[in-house]
Amino acid sequence: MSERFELRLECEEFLFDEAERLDDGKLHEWLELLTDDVEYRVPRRVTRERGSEQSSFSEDGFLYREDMGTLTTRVERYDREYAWAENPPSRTRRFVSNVRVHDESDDEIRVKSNLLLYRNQGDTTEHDLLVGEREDQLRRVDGALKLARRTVYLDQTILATRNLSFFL
Amino acid sequence: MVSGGTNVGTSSQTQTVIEEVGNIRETGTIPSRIHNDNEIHELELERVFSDTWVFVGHESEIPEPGDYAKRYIGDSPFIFVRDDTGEVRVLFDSCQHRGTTVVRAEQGNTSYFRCPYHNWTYKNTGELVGVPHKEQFFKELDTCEHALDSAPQVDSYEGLVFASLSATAPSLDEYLGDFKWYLDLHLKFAEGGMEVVGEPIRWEIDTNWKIGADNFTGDSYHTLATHKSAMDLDIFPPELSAVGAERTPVDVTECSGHSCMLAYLENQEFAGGYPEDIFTETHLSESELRLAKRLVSSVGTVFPNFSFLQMNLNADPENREVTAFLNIRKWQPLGPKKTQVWNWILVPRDSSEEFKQRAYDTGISTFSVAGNFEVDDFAVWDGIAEAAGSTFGKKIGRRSNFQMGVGEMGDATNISDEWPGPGAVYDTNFEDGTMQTFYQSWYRSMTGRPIDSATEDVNE
Ligand code: FES
Ligand SMILES: [Fe+2]
Repeated sequence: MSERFELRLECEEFLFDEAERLDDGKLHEWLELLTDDVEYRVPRRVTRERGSEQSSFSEDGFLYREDMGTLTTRVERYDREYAWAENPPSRTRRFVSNVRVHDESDDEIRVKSNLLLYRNQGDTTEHDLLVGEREDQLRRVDGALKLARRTVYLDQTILATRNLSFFL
Repeated sequence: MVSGGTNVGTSSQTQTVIEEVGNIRETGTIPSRIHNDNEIHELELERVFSDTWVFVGHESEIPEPGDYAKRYIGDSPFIFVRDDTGEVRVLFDSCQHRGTTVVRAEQGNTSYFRCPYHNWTYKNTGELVGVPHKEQFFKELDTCEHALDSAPQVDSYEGLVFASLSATAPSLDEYLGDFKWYLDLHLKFAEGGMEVVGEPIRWEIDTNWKIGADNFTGDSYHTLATHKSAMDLDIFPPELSAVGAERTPVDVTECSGHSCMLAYLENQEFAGGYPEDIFTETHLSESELRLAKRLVSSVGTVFPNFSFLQMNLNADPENREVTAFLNIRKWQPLGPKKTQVWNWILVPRDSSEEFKQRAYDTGISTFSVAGNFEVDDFAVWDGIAEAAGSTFGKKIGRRSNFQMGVGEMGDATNISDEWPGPGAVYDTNFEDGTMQTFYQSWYRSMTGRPIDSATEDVNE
């Protein structure tokens, strides 16, 4: 097996393991996968005209712009029985695909992946579907991969969801 | 002039429901049906959203000539644009030819809007300047008569641009009336005023637009329950929140048809959230400035669907500092049980970049689609519409209760006499007068009256 292929498998394994922790609601275990200086961002997509010189993602508009401290606060909130947004808990299932390893140094790897996230909650058949691309920076810390930076580029400008009470 | 309007095309059942809302001051209750009913929704688009002043956007969103953003008044599409002469316009987004919408992007910058159907072209002033093959097919067409229509009235207050679909509605200045005193506390305390960061975050919730609007007039009661998890984590610092001994709350009701809740520190300036040196006495009276420096939280609604919220919060109480931000809202009705939420964060224009970013981050992490406070609101609001529109709910005439602390229910004291600002003001934020004011304005608007009964008396 080529080294490159092995590296992709390793990255995929990391992302699938991460997805499992999030889908299973093991949020403290999810935090363990993040570096202390993690940057977690979801910029707002803006519908612009074709050919516009501006990016279709906002420079200063975000749905999430988090660090380890704010992510931990969020996770601790979900520990509480009164966090109504997740009571009853959302049932999420995320499909992580098209994993592309872009470049690498000894311990920093840039990985892109596609995300399809299904969310259903309560006693209804209605569900949210969130779709986007993730651009991650993985870092090897003591031999194991960790997430150092994530940017999620969602495909919707207007979110068809009552709240984002989960991570992407 | 008042009578007659409500009977045309309205079922008598709907008529009765509307009249019952008009009795909210006596009964403290309203028929829940208004929170999910097709006929009511249609009537609101015709009356409420056509006759009042509706928020369009903040001037700082379109700073340069040619900057535009697509906006809505009720269900009607508009282009919010700064034309090449620098004037802010609100143009009906409907081509003068066959009427399709000319703008499909959310925002951008352009000198000309070109209609995608047959390429009629308009300047960003709305003027029609291009009709393909005019000499052959439209020889006699007078382009001067075919500019994009403008909203009949457009005006701004401290950078907030509102428009009215009624040419005869009283001016924006009159419409905001005395309530400007409260808007000023949030908009005029800093020399350079406020500006928007980023673009408004938009998402859709399965409830009626009035639920968000009424909650933001000052439903302080729900904070204890709905937001308990965020409170327990000290995201709202305990010394500033309801348990803080120094904190004084007031409910402002019946203020030109609008209402709000304020909480401030009695004996301490600079509640912590805004940089101390940002406050200026240039634009505020002494009593306003005094209050502005002490505000720890406030929330209010300009009828019908513009709300604001200012708070001192902390997205990470262990590692960050308490930060203030101003959040403004638009509750855009998409249907009787579908609302599009528009959410802007504003910061003092003259504050540092570091502060602006911190304020923005605090705002989105607490009051937005992923906000630690607000995700819980959106989790419960859909249930109101669900039950309100249900067959059994209608059959038993389900009513919503707004009796808290009002009349014999509590001991809210009217302190309007010693209070420096306008409105009927109470010494507690646990009373439902702010919401009663909102539904009273709704009733008046649905029956063709001005939302402020005082205005009516003057006119008569
Ligand atoms: S509809 Fe706009 S050019 Fe024909
Ligand atoms: Fe709330």
